[in-house]
Amino acid sequence: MSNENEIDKPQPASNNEPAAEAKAAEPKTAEAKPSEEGAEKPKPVAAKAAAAEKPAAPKKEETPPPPPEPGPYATLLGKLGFSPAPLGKDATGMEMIELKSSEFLNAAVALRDNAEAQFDLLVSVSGVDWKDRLEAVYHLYSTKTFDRLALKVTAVDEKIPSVVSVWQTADWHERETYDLFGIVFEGHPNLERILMPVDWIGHPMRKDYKVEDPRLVWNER
Amino acid sequence: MATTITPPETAQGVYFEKDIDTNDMVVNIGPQHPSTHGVLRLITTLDGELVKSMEPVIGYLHRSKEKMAESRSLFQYQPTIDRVEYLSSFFDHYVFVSNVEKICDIQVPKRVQYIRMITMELNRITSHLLWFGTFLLDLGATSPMFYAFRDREKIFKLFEDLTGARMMYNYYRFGGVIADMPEGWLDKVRLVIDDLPKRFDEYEALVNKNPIFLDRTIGVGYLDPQQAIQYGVTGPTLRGSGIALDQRKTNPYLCYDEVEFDVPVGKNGDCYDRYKIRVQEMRESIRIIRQCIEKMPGGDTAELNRRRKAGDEDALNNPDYQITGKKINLITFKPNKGEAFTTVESPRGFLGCYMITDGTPKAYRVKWRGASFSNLSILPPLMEGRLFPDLMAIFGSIDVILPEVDR
Amino acid sequence: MKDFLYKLLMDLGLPPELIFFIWAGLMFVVISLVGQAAVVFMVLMERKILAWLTQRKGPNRVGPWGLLQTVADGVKLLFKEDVMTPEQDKLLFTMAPVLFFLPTFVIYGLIPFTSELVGVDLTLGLLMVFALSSIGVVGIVLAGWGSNNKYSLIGGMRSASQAISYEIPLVMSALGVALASGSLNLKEIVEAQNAGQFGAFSWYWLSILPLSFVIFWISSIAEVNRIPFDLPEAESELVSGYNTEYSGMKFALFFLAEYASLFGMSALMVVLFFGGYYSPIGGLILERLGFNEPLLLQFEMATWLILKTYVFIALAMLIRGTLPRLKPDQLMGFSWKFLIPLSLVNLLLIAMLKISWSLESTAVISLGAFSISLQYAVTYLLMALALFLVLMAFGALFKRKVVTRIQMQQRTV
Repeated sequence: MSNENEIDKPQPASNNEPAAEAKAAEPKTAEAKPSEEGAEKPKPVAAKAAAAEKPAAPKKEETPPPPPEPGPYATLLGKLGFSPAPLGKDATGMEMIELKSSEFLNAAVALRDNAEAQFDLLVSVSGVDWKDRLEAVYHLYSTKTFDRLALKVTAVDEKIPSVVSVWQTADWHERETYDLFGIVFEGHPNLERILMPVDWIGHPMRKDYKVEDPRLVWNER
Repeated sequence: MATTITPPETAQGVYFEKDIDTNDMVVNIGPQHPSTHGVLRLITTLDGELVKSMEPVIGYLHRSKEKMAESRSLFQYQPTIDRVEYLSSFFDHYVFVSNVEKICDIQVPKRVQYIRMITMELNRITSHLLWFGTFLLDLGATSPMFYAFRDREKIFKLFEDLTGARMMYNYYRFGGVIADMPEGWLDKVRLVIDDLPKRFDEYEALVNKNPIFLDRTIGVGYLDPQQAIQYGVTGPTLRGSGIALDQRKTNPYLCYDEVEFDVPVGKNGDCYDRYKIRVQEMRESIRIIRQCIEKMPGGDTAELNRRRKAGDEDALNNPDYQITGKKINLITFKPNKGEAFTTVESPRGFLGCYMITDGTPKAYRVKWRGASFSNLSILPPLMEGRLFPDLMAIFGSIDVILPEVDR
Repeated sequence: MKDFLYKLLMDLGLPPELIFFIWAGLMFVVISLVGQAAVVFMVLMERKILAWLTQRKGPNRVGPWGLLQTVADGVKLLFKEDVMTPEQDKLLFTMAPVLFFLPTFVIYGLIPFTSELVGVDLTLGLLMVFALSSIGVVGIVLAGWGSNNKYSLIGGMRSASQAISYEIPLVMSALGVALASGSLNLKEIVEAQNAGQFGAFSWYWLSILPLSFVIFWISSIAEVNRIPFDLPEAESELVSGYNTEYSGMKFALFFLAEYASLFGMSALMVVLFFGGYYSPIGGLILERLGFNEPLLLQFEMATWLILKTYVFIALAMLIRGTLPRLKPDQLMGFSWKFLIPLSLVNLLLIAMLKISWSLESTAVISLGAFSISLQYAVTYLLMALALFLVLMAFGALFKRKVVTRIQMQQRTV
């Protein structure tokens, strides 16, 4: 496919920066092993995804892919004193920006209030489990300029500052992400399970989540 | 009440205190309740008939649609999408299929795009019709529901002709649709949509001048536009507050930039405006469908087939007239690596699907952004300080469907 | 028949007091059996009417045209388990349906179905009917309390407040009838209405009490808890209101009593405003045709009354299929701010009318060639005033909404 390269671009870039953080966090090294074993077998999907990332690291030194062009909002955030990492565009043409979790809250306020951005509507918060790290993707929408933006924030120690104070929508969306992924949103007024029962153990959307009940294991093949 | 009522020993339940007149009453509305439209639980604190606070509890219909996507190939996952939101499942299918098309860079033929537009707009009408019936049922009027269901049935007949199913369509495919329209289907659609505006007039005549209906909706449930955006409310509920945010206009997808239609916008932000807007939207949908039928590339299937039999080169080979943009073997189909987030204007607002693919047949991550999920979160602030019966008017007017909330 | 029974029992040597009780008991049994049958038919009728309104067929499987559907439902309810949780107050919970059911059927015994077929012909019949119809509310409140269910409790409380609000206009408007006829005896009220020569036009609904009739009708629908006033059992809010916890025969009692009270109220309305058991052309048709067989005439009387009653029942059912439900505050407001003042004014007008007609005045007002008696002038003036008041009142009620409705506009991007 012609656009395969374009889409591949953000992937190594997103791996670059959080790699250091992931190493510091370190809790997930144990899971890396089964995925390496899985790399030999073609069947398991999740393992394959990890395998695709692994060989990307040595390649990088040989042919470093050109860093994606910073889009208008990455430039804007840069101007405002943040250090966004542009990730190019997704398949629908939406700009994607990676933000550090430490400056995320301030950047969110800036994106909402700045006259050039005006992202007043938080469309969704999605957690993504990349096996070595947890990531939250914030999709923003502006009811003034009708533009769209994706913010990606990697959890540090499974923690991300909550943006409920910026967008009230985040209340339920963050609760859902916490419920399914276990990302703790610091500063959330009421971080409880929302979809799963309150006494549920574990966070089901994680890739390493195992169903203990033998009757449910059919889903794991 | 100055005197203290002491209930008999047997009547002292969990919430019954001896001083019953000094306590607020906590009513647990749902999960099984006639007007929660599914399984929603609302922990409501009542002071007499006044709602002091309300806390929605969701998750009773959680079916792990997102987790399911990780254990099935994209094609295997597709039939289950219908159940994400079963009242307007064409929209769910569209966002899912559109994500894959964009990630894999599949060009969609014009004819398919128009078929999708017709089906989606018809689906919007069925969804709004159901809403119309149940909204009035919540207010205590029993008859309108039957009228609405009668008309909904006509459209379901059309869907049955087209897809073979009445509610769970599974009609769209990556790059196209599963089969072309049956011969003469467009004429059937035309018949139905010629009839519907008369019906809408009838409904409005029945409802709009009813003083009790006006009393119960006008000025009830005022939603401030800024508050609505803060809470992520979208769709007709947001437009009722005066913000003309319709993705078909602002971020046109499919061929919505080629058809003319208006976006009805309310002024007062109350239940009545939301009701008006939905009825008006059904009329606009009919306008869109009418234009789509006229502009349909290749016209009716009967016409197209005749031309193809006659050996018309254009009819045979024009990429616009095909029903799929790319021949895909769905069994071995592997999407490219990438991610996409498509949102469309569903009958309830922004319906989004966030998809990350990693080159395997399965999606690495699928996230559904249901409009109802965010719309429901506005309910507690709207209900505070209102009367208990207003709950039905307000909850009905924001049009929540629970499978979309819980996914 | 009454005379025959009295004679028979007198011959047996029973004291007249005892015979009266026997007669009354017999009448009550007969009338409540007939009433049960009427209710069974009403349930089917309601379902058929609602089906017709919404373009359905309604029950049509059990018996011809579904005639036995209600019987089947009743049998089902009889055999159903009577569920009762330990948290419920057993005494109140069991007492409530009976307390609700009994008065509505006792009312049947007071209504003059024909000139002879009246269980107890009380001098204060009208007062007795209202007294009995108020007792039913106690049953609902007890059901709400005894169920130990919050929906039931809210329903019971609503019912109490609703009964208090709507009994006042109900009684006020009926008081107008008492004023006009000069009696509280229901039979005498019927006879007084038919004293006029214009048949249906001399009945009270049109001749002197149109406003009373409207108030009475609205209040009676509220009194029997039907849409749009069915707040005690608003199913979209309170699941089923006061009878949420009831099942089996106890529920059947509530169900029966609701329809029975609708029948009772409609019959009362016919008696008070629609000439009771007389035909719309005045007097009885068979009598005019020359048939003087008493039994035949009695039969015609009963037919007329039941026919008219069913017309109002059907109207109540049409209203149910058409209107949404009110909110409690609107319900109270409508009664206290609108119906009660209106009924007071109405009472005043009727009193003035009554006085103007009771004065033996022969004064005549002459305006050129046109001359009119003072009595008629006063009457017309009062009627015009009443009409004006009604128009003003309803105008004030609807004006606000019309204005708000126009403010709504469509804007496009």
